[in-house]
Amino acid sequence: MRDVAVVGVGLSKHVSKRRDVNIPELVWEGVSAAYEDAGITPRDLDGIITGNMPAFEGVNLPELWGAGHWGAYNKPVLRITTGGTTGGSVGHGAFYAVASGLMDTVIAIAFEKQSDGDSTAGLNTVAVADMAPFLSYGIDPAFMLAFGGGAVGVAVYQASSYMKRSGCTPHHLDKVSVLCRTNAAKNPAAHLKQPGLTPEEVARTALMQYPLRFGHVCPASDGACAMILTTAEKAKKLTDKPAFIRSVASCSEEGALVGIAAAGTANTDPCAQEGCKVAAANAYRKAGIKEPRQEIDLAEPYAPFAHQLLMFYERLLLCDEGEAPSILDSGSMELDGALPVCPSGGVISTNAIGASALERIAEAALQIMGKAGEHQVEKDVHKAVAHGWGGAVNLNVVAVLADTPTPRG
Amino acid sequence: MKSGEGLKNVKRMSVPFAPVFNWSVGNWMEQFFDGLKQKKILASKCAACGRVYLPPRMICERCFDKTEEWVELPETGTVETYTMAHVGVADNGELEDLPEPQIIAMVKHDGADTCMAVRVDAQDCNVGLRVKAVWNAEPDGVLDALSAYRALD
Ligand SMILES: [Zn+2]
Repeated sequence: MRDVAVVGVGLSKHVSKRRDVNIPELVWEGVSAAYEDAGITPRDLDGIITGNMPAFEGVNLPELWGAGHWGAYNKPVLRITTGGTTGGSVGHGAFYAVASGLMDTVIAIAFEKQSDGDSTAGLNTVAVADMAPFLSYGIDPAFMLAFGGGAVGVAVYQASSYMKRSGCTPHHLDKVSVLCRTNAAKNPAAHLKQPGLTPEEVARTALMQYPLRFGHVCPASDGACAMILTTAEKAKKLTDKPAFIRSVASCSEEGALVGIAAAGTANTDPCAQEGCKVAAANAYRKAGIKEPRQEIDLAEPYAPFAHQLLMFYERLLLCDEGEAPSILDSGSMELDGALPVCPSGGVISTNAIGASALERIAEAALQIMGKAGEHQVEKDVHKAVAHGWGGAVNLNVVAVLADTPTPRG
Repeated sequence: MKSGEGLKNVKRMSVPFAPVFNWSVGNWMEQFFDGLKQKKILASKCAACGRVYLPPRMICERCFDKTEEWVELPETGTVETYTMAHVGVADNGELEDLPEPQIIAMVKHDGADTCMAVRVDAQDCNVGLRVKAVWNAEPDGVLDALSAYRALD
């Protein structure tokens, strides 16, 4: 295993409809920013790892349509698509390429241009593709489509269950939205920026599907994220302060269903997220982190829905189960707090689906490199954890980043 | 949901599904379409290597540079390769026999380094045939503006 360094990060602006550019042109914005940030050109690359969820654009093989626009001419291209975790898996794939010694310098690219697609068609194709599992588990598909099989349907059962188990109140959900959307206001790449937002304003948004209000739910964004990964040796020549990806770990739970089984598996409590705990424990162990609660300086959990920021904070083993709501109350998760959470504004502020889990890793890297700008957290960030959740709502992906390489031996 | 007829372990169902997509053509193709309205064939050129892209694209994929220069190309070009279609797709999506076989050719416009797929009306098509674009009377800024190409005398 070789050490893997992040030497460049690029993000396009994220908005709900980029009608002016096509998919390759949009992705180019993030990609060219990453090359510029790293100070390299595509000639320095050994390979390209990319992914999105093509159902959302209705474009098959966009990675090949756009290949030349992101510097792939004459290079190996590999696509990875794992649902909501796509960007995280793309980051993991890029890590594997460098850590294994098979490639020295790679670019990880993840994106979504949801405005090109039919918003419900995107989700429907996901849902339609789930019909066979529905049938095989004896669930009536018509019932599922009518009662919460859509995007929010993935999360509402989980939210109810988490709130019961943790004591998280609707007010906590409102405060999570405020934390994220006010952070997003300081992030030029973020989509929903709401400076000065108050919990009362969130509480006044319409109820979407119990217990989640519109103010608790992510927008649909167009956007792209790219990261350049290379060896520790090559990183030295490019930057004084790289961020190292110390480890990646992912964990698939049992086959799961969108909707009634919501967010866990067909058999367990959807807020249990045992897979996240397994992935986090593995990632910390591989990263040489024994006490994540003391050692982790910053967390970017994947939370398109408000309760998930608290739930995944717990499942990432950063506190006891049920403690996250009171930690939120303490102010510790703020930009100037002891363990800032989602300084980028998180997925609840910006969700270009395929890109979102890579953007968690990108934010951790930016914070460690000290390049986050206005949303740079107050404390020095030595170690950070980045997370993604998706697949068939049964996959958790975790990456641990640090300002020093993994201790060996 | 009905049981699959005569098939064991198969269930059959139908799901209503009518997607509407809104694919953006992008900045470069938008300029190309604007050009068609004025009977202009606009290509983009890479300053670094000189390649001329028709249809235009934002990035020269060999140089990874933006193609910022625009050039207007003549209506004439050369058939690089071609086929003859005998079957087409009807409005209802079904295949149908064409009343007349239709030549579809990859034409490289004079001055371009890339090809466009176009219809050619010619008695004899061949690789190397010189052709010229025929404009619709009132080109409306979509690909149909170029109705078909004809052989140059
Ligand atoms: Zn060029």
